[in-house]
Parts: sequence; C-alpha cells; structure tokens
Amino acid sequence: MAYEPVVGLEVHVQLKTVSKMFCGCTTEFGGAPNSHTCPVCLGFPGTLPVLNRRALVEAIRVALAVGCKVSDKVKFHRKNYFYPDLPKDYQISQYDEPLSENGHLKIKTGGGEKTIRIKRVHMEEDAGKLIHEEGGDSSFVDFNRSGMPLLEIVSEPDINSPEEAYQYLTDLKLLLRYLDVSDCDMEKGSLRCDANISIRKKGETGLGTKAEVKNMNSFKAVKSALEFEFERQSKCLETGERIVQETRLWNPDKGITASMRSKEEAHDYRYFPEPDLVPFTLQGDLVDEERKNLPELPEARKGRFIGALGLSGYDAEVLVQDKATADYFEECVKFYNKPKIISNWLMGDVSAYLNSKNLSAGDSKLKPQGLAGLLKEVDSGKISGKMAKDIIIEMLDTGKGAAAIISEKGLSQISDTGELEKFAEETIAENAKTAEDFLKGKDNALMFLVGQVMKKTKGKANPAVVNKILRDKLSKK
Amino acid sequence: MEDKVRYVARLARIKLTDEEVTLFSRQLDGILGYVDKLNQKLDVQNRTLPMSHPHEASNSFRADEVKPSLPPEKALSNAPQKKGDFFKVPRIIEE
Ligand SMILES: [Zn+2]
Repeated sequence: MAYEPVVGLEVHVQLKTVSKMFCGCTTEFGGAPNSHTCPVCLGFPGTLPVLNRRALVEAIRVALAVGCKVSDKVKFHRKNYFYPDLPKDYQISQYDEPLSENGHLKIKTGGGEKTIRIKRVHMEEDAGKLIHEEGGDSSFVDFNRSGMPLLEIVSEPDINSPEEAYQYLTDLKLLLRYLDVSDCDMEKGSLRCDANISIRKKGETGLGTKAEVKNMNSFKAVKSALEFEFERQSKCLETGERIVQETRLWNPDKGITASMRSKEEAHDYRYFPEPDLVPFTLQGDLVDEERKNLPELPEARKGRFIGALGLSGYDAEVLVQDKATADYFEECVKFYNKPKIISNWLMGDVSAYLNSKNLSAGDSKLKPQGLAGLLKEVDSGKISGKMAKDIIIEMLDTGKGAAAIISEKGLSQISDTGELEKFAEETIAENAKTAEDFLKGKDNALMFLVGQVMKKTKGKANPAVVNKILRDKLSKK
Repeated sequence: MEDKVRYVARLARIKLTDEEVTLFSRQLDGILGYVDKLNQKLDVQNRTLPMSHPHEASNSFRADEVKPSLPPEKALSNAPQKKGDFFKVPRIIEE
C-alpha cells in the first residue's frame, strides 16, 4: 500500500527587537540566568504589559510578505496552562482574532513550484527556559527568554514529504532574512519548528490521526524526524496498530521520535481575552505604510537578476539564496557592469574561499569595489584570468587592492609583442617537430607551444597575444 | 454542574472538598441561570458582539527601548526555592 505523509508546520520566530514584547528588558542572547527579568516578564501580580510597537510592525511585515490578510482589529488572549517555565500560568497569545490569516508561500520542489497555504501568522510571548537536573528530581528556570516577542507562522497541512518540509523552512527563513525581522538562528532558539504529521493512502483527501513532533533543532532534524514518523505510522497502519494523537519528541542521538509522557493534563487552554491589553486597530496607515516599505523579496529579486541583469536562472537562484551574497553582487555591478562575469567569480573563487573560512560575503575583506577593480585589470589585459585567480586569494586574505598586489609582485602580464616574439621564436626552434605537427593540421600542437611560451615567461605572457604571434610565425614558415 | 466544577477545579489546580463542590455548583448554577435571562429576553446571538474590553481605548504602545532589568538576586528574592541564579522547581518531564 502506498501512503503519503500530510504535514503542517508551526514555526516560531523570535522577532528582532531590542526590548521584550511587553516590557523593557533586553532581548540580548545569553546573560547570567534571570538577569534580563522584571516584574512584568516574571509575572508578578499587579504588573501591566504594554505592547512593543516594533514587534507589531515586524509581525505585520511578515504577514504581508506571505500574502496574509491583516485584521483590522487585533486582540490578545490568555492561553492558560501550568508549566514551570510560564510564570503567569498563562501565555499572552492570540486566538480567534489573530493578527492575520490566509496567506501562502511558494516553494520549489522537484516537480516545480508548489503553494503551501499559510493558515495564520500571529504574535505571542515566549516562555522561560527549563534546565533539568541531571539524575535529580528538580528543574531550574531561567526567565531571560520569558516575554520575548514571537511570531507563530502556521501552515495548512499542504506539505507531502519531508523534502517539501525542508524546502518550506528554507524558503520561509530566506523570506524572514530579507524582511530583516529575525536572526533565524535555530541554535539560539530564534527559530523553532514543530510538525504535525499524519499519513493517508495516496490519492485520498481525508486526514488521519496526527502526531505532533517537537524538539527538532535544525531543518535537517525536521526532515529526519518526519521520515522516521512517516515510516512508523505506515507500519502502524500495515500492522493494524492504532495511531494515537500525541506529542512526540525527536531524539537526535537515536534518530527516533518517542512519545512524550507528561504529568500535564490534556490540553484545555481556556482561552479568554487578555483584559490587560486593549485591542489594536490596524485600519489604514500602519498597514499601508508597511506594505509600501516591504523590501524586494527573493522571488522578485531573482526575476530582476534574470530579466534586467541577464543572469541564468540557476545563477540568479544561487545568488538570491543568500542575501549577503546577493547584496554584494549588486554592489559589484555598480562598479563593473558585467553581471555574468561577477556572478561567476562570486559563485566560484570567492564563495569557495569564504565558505572555507566560514565567512559571509558581508564580512569579506575583499570589498565589491575591489573585486570590480580586479576584473577591470583582466579586461585591460594587464593580467590573465589565471593570474587573477591567484591575486584574488591575496585580496581576500589581506583586503589589498588588485593594482597594489600586481605592482608589488611584478605580476603584470607581458603583452609587449616585441618581447613575446623573441620567446615565440625560441620556442619554435626548440620544438621543431611540434611546430611541424601544427602545420600538418594538428591544432593541439599549438596549445603545447603556447604552454611553452607561458612557461618561459613564468605565466606572465598574455596567452591570447602569444597564440596570435605563434600562428603568424608558423604560417610564415 | 458538579462534574464541570470538578473539571475546572482540576484545570485550575484547586483542591475542593465534596461539600465545596456542592456549594459552588449551586452558586454557579444560580449565577449562570441569572445571566441566561439575557438569552430569553434579547436576541444577543445576532446583534450584539461579545464585549472583551469595557473601555474605548485602543492602540496603546510602547517604543522599542531597553529599560533596566532587576538584579537577579532581587528577581529571585520571593522564590520559595532557588539554586544559584535559577528558580528551582520540581521536575516535570518523566523519563
Ligand atoms: Zn521584563
């Protein structure tokens, strides 16, 4: 029997603000335990939350970018449950009047583009962090993360393979990076993902009983966990075992998911309107302004790279996948108007170097203007492309300009015909047989002779000029 | 009603004696019955939106600015149990 997985993803993103969602505590990562807390985010009685405007604005930007309808009226609710990382015993979240609903994200799959519907994008506050005592019966709580502004992005169950889930997360993260609303760092917990997965016979449209999978700390882990769950549930159906609705935790060491048994009651959150926060009216200006201010998003940028700058679809795709590289590329084009050549260098030598040093294009010592300068030296014939490949490494290492390196090392290419003619004559004399082969029609023989001249000049000769001189001399024989 | 009271008490982690359950059930029945008169006299289903906030105010924001936090020792000063700069609580997850 062929089954297919049906997956919906819940992504939590920590918004990029300097202060928390409802109080002035810093959002800085790290810090001594409980050093970024105050009466509001510790949930002391009598305190009042006040919404961080920037958090709301960033949330609106994301909602708009995924095509959601932003509500005119935004309300917060209390989601009630008991857990030691939740100091108020409720989380301020959104319920029946969320910030926005009904959007979508287009993802690239093996079979072309696929639209994943987004059910809602809403705001909520984060809880604290629990550390479990090794072997003991206590846990320790750090409330530094309590009250951090989060965005929850909930997809519809439109994802039908672990690969699609991976792609959805990749594309969503890229979008968030372009919007500059989150660091999207899974290691620091600023991007988290839970997955709902059920399975059904291929071709069916109903939904089976789902499991919620948590504790995945990378996109790869999400993919692996979904692969495992798909197999586990498929086996259940084949052996007639009942699939139960439950929360399961991914265990990265064992590569399995396991049922999370908890002392907690079945969830009944008893949502009710948060009386401490008045409703927000978003008609008109605020949303319109953010819509106008949306930056160019990855899809549009890719289209422009292809259409206006003449890049191939593949090159455009690769460049756009990393915002820093795409920005760098655009800077280069300002100084040197041959986009295709720039993209070749960026995707080749430059990215190989940066990747090996784990650097982003933005951190590179070689600045866009520097790369443009180097490419101009190649165009002028002063250096060969091959020499440029060596020079660029030094530029990346030191940040020096191309011209400086060329003169320092005496690297200028020899284009002076008189000098090269001498070398060409010598070479023909020393390789009479090869010269003859060329005259008999063996084109490869010329390449060998060019190589010999290059050797004599220690690689400094301009190969195109050498080629021409050799041809001239041989044809006169 | 008694089942509901027991259920809500469990959700709220409130321990009630049988006598209290009987008492609160009777009281809640009375309150809900009283409020239910609205349904008998008025068409609230279609005409009146639920009111979550009695006052008119809206859009009360703060700017994204950092304010000083409490020193950890002060943050922890009311904690029944602590360890170092952490609040200490009974372990929840079962292995
Ligand atoms: Zn605080």
